[in-house]
Amino acid sequence: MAWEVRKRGASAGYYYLCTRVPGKPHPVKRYYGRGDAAHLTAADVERRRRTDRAAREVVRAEAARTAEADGLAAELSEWAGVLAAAWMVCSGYKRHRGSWRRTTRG
Amino acid sequence: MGKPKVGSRAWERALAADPHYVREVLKSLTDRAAGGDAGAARDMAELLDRHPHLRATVPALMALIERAEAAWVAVAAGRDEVARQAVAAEVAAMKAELLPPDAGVLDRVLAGALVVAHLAHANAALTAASPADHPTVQLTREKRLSSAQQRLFAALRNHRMIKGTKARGLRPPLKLFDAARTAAS
Repeated sequence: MAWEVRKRGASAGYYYLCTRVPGKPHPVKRYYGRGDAAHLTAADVERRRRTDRAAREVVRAEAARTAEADGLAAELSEWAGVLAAAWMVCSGYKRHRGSWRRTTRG
Repeated sequence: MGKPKVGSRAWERALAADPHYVREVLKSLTDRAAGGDAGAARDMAELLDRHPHLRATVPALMALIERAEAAWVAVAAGRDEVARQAVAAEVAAMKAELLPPDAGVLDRVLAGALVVAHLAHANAALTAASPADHPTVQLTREKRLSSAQQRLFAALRNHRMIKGTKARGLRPPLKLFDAARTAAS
């Protein structure tokens, strides 16, 4: 997606937009020329890029805010799972297709 | 002092003091025993007799619970001291309800995991409910909420399962749980 300058023609170049078209295995490059349509499309693409960048920033900030707490929660959850499974095994249970079944009488 | 050379006795001693290593050993033994490996079940029962240094993991586990709770209280309350006190009081009330009078390490870990999962879920639900300008933000928040729901469900299932076996009077011979009770008290 860019203004492409040709050997002959306007020095500002011509605007092309690459998009994925359903049913086609490769991106399709569409010509917009150098008129109003080209400037409008270029502005729209730039605006979309800015909002995408801002959204990624929001996502990154939200993840960073809870990163440490999330890591600790994951570790604690892992320990809880391991200890609970150890308790079940030692109580005479076995895991059968994801559920615990009693195999001995303790 | 540098890290011990891989494979040396000092390296083995350092591994045994690492809670992650202990957890993975226990997980591996449990998975094998749960699948019907009698040798693994026996090894688990004798775990602490053979490796008494594993008792050192228990204080580390208790510290992990405290750190995880404190981190989620801080996330939930932000910089508001009154909110922090309110969330801390809620956590204390939940734990008082979840922990039996003779709570051992397993009870403490399960209750801690449940409280932390509850706080993480509440935070994820609150964030997902707030308006998002971009579909990517909304999608990421929903994924986080879904993951928090799964963790809360797992914590509830573990707590309920162990409570059920205890109600039936089952007391497994794994000494880790006994050692933990003494260490935790």
